[in-house]
Amino acid sequence: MKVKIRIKNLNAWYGKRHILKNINLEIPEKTVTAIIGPSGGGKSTLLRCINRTHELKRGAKVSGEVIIDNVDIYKINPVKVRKTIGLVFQKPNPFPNMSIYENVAIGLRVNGIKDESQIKNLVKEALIKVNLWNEVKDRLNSPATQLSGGQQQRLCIARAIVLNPEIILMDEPTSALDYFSTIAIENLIKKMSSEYTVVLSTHNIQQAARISDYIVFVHFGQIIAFRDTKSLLLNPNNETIEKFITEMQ
Amino acid sequence: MVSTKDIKDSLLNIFATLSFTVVMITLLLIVGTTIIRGIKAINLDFFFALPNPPGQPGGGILNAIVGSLILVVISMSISIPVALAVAIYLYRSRNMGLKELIRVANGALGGTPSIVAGVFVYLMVVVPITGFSALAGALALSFLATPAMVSIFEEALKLVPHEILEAAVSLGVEDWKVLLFVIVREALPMILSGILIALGRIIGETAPLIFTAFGSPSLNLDPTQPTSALPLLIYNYAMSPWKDWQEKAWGAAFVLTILELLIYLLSRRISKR
Repeated sequence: MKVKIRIKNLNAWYGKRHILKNINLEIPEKTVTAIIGPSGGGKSTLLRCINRTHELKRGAKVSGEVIIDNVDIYKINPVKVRKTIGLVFQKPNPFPNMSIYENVAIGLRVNGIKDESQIKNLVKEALIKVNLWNEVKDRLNSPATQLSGGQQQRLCIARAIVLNPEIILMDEPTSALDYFSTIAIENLIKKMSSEYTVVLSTHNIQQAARISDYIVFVHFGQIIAFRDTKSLLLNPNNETIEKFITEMQ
Repeated sequence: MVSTKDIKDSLLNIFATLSFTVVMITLLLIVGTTIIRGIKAINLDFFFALPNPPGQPGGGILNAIVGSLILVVISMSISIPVALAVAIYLYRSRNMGLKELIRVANGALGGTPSIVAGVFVYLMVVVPITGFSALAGALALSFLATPAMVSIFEEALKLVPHEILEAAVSLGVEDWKVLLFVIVREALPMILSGILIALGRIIGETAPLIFTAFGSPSLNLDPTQPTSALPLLIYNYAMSPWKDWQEKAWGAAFVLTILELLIYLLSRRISKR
C-alpha cells in the first residue's frame, strides 16, 4: 500500500513542554487512521503538525520531517501545505457571520474562483457528499449557526472537502455531538476513505474500532503502537493499551 | 437593632439614587431645552436653504449640513483604513515592545484635547499648504477618530475566536486573505459599531474645525475651500447678536442631538447582533 504521510523524528513543543517525542509514522493512502490515547497525550498536536497549524500558537515549536508525496512540508510555504489538507475541529466551528452557503463557498472564493455558477455547483456537490444537501437546500442563505451541532460539523467537513484536498485531518470530530450525529459523521468518514486519506484523533476506542483501518496509540507524546485496527484490538500485547481498552468499556 | 452595616448600605443606596437623579435631570434639561427651543426653528427652508445675510431673518443651514457630511466622509475615509491597518498590526504582530509603544501612543493621541488637534493641523497643514479647507478640517477630525477606532477594532479582531482563525488558516490561503475575508468579516459588526462611535464623536466637534475648516456662509462642495459644519455654525450663530441666528443655532443643536442619538442607537443595534 502506498504511504501518503511519512513522519520522521518529529518533536513538538508548546512553550517548555515537550509534547511529541520522536514520532515516526507511515500513514497509508486512502485509509482511515485513528490516533487514540488518553487526553493530553499529544493526539491533537500530532494531527496539527501534519498541516502546520500547531505552529500558529504562540510558543509552539516543531522539529523533524513530515513528508507528504515526497515533499517535506516543513521546507515549503505552509499556505501551500494547508491547501491540500483539510482540517475538521473538535467543536463545530462554522464562520458565525456567514450563511450556510457562504461557509462552503468562502474557501473557493479566497482560492481565486470567481465564476458564481461554478461555485454553486461545487458547494452543492460538497453538501451532497456530506449528506447535508437535503436538509439545507431550502435555506442556504440562513446563518450557519442556526444548524444543529451535527449539521454544523457536517458543514465544516463540506467546507474542508470542497477544496478537493487529498488528506483530511479530524480532531475528535464527534466528541461534542450527540449519539445520532456521531453515527452520521462516522458513516461519512468510512465513506470518505475511498477518496481521501483520513487521519482522526479520538479518545473513544469503540469509535476507532468502528471506523478506522489503522490505530496509532499515543501516550505521553510517544507512539506505543501502530497497527491495523483489528489485530491491535484483538491482541494489544501492551499493558497500557489493555488498561486503556478495559477502562473504556 | 440597626447595625452599622445596614446604615452603610442605606447610605450607599441613597447616594446612588441621588447621583442617578442628578444625572438624569441634567440630561433631561439639556435634551429638553434643545428640543423645545430647537424645534421652533425647524421648517423645510431650515434644511434646504442657505443662510440669509446677517440680520435678515429666514434662510436655512444647508451649507452646514452639507459641510458636516463632506467633513465626515473625508475624515472617515482617512481614518478607517489607517485605524484598521494599525489594529491588524496590533492583532498580528508578536513584537510586544512595539505593540505596547503603539498602544500607549494611541492612547495619548486619543486623550489629546480636540483644540490641540485643530491647532496642530493649522500649523502643519493650513498655514503652509491648504489654507482653511474642508480637507484640513477632516484631517483634524481624523486625529480624534482614529485612536478611538484603533482600540475598538483591535478588540473586535481579538474577540474572533481562535478556532475561527484556525479554520480560516486551514482553507489554505495567504495570511492577508485570511485576515480580510474571514477575520475582519467576522469582526465586522463590532468594527461597524466602532466606526459609528467615532462618527458620533467627531460629528459634534467644534474646536478642531475653528482653525481648519473655518466655516463658510455659502454652499461649498470643493474640499480645498473653507467649509461650514453643524457645530461650527452653532458656535458662530449662538454668539451672534441676531435673534434669528440664535434661534437657528438652537435648531442646528436640535438636529445634531437627534443625529447623535440615531448614531448611538444604530451602533448599539449593530453590536448587539
